[in-house]
Amino acid sequence: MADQLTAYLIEMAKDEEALARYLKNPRAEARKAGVPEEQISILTEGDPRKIFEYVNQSMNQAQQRGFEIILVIFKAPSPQRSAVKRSGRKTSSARRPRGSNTAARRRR
Amino acid sequence: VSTLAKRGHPRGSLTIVGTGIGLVGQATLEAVASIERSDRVLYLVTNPVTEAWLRDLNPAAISLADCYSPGKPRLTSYDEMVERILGEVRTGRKVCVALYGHPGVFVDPSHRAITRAREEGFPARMLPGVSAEDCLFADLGMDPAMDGCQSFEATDFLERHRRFDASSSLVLWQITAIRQDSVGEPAALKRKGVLALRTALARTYPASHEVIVYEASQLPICEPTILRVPLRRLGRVKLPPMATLYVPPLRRVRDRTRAGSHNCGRR
Repeated sequence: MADQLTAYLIEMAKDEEALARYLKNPRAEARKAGVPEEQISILTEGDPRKIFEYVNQSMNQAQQRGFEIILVIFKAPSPQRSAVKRSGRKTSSARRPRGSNTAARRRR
Repeated sequence: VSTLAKRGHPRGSLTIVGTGIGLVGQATLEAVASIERSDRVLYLVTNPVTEAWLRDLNPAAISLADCYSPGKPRLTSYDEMVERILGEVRTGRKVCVALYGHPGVFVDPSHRAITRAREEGFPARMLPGVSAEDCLFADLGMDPAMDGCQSFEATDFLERHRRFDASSSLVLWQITAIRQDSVGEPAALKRKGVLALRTALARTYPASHEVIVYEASQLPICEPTILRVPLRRLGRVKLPPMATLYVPPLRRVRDRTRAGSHNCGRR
């Protein structure tokens, strides 16, 4: 495990009672769990970005990396495929402009 | 590869699991078991605490994060991820891929890796996880059964001019990455995308319509981000990196629709 702060966060994620005790008395509970003062200050600030940044820095240099979210990338539709029904005929909805859904029409 | 299997070489397999959004607690028991019992774990998570937890569960865990680099097209990164996953499976290992959230919701390489593994004759399966939308339902107290719920990826929503029903809830994903194809795009591009989204929504919803910028909490000690703003202010508020936009139904339309269906029932 990387450090006491990481271990303590994981413990609280697993144990609801430990989390409740922390929320009631953050500094004292973190101290009881053996988290060093420097880490307690970061923890009690409650800013996830700062906490993650600290944990990331405290990990071995070789392990350090950015954390990038995974995304679904939009792929431009082929005009033929999107506008043509299985029958091969264009649908009226494919030609209908955006915002012309039922609700929008009613509002107008 | 199939020839190797026939000759008695150990047969590789692939299981893709989700770690959930919240730290540790949202990983299912079957996901944890799969992580622990695999010969190789490949992972992509959004924070170092989950990473430490995964490496503790299985010391043979390796990150896929180095497939990303600034300016590199995301699709290239995802192709690389699929190749690395398949490469491990082909060596005959029992491979587990752990991805944050639900591994099959708004994730491109997971589905492709499973399809490819099956095409090559390897057993492959995906285990469900807790997605950002699941957290949203819980945190906003929103039940999709009430008005229905439409979910779109934000760029897809804009580019394909998706038609939607404003009397039903609308969830738009990845609003901080609209029209961004690679990692490390400038912040100005992010704002431009959000403004385009606001313009598109304003064709249907009034400027005063309250929308909710939402980000699930990753840490047990933190609350989720729930920013309620009128549509007109979207683009002016600071968005958290993994923000999802929740657009509640238009009440007027919803009520009219309900009244209409009630009358129909009387007849």
